[in-house]
Amino acid sequence: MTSSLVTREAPAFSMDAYDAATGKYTTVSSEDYAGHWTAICFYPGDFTFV
Amino acid sequence: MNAASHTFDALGVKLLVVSCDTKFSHKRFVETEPLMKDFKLMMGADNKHKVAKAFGVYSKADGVAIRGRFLINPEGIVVAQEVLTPPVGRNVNEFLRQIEAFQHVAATGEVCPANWRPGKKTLPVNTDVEPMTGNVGSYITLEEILS
Repeated sequence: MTSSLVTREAPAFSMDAYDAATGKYTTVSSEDYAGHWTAICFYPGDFTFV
Repeated sequence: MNAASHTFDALGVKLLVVSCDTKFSHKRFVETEPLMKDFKLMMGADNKHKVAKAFGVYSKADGVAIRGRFLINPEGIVVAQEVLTPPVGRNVNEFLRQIEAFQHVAATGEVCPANWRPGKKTLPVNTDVEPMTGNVGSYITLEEILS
């Protein structure tokens, strides 16, 4: 596991996604966020609430 | 995050939430959980664990992503990250404070001291043109920092 990404380039990614705004399945990739302030939040799993 | 999404919008910050569940699970979660009634965010389905691993937040023991959040600037650089073990949730207000501070720094070149929030005193940039001399205490008092 890497220790910290701070000051480093964010990893490129691409994955399946669910867009809760439209209710549609889609895909997301790091390219969708290029040039924007972006917040990425990981969480352990659906049906968990903390 | 979702409840504050209008604030993220106002700050021009795009939001992406990610777990190691499938997109089908995400859909079912949003549609069946009453607390998710107004949830409108993009949900990444990292069921191959590749993205969580790339960000260093994959827990092999549990097969899930631990609670990590990353702020990435428009140049693609990670400027802030916070990672918590699963039992404790995050505080969105502190994240918003950090976003406002990082955006202020990016826009002005000023430096935001501890506890900074919009409207509070910043520190000058320490450059050859405008060198910062003396101690930090010459620029800001402890009372101003703690206020």
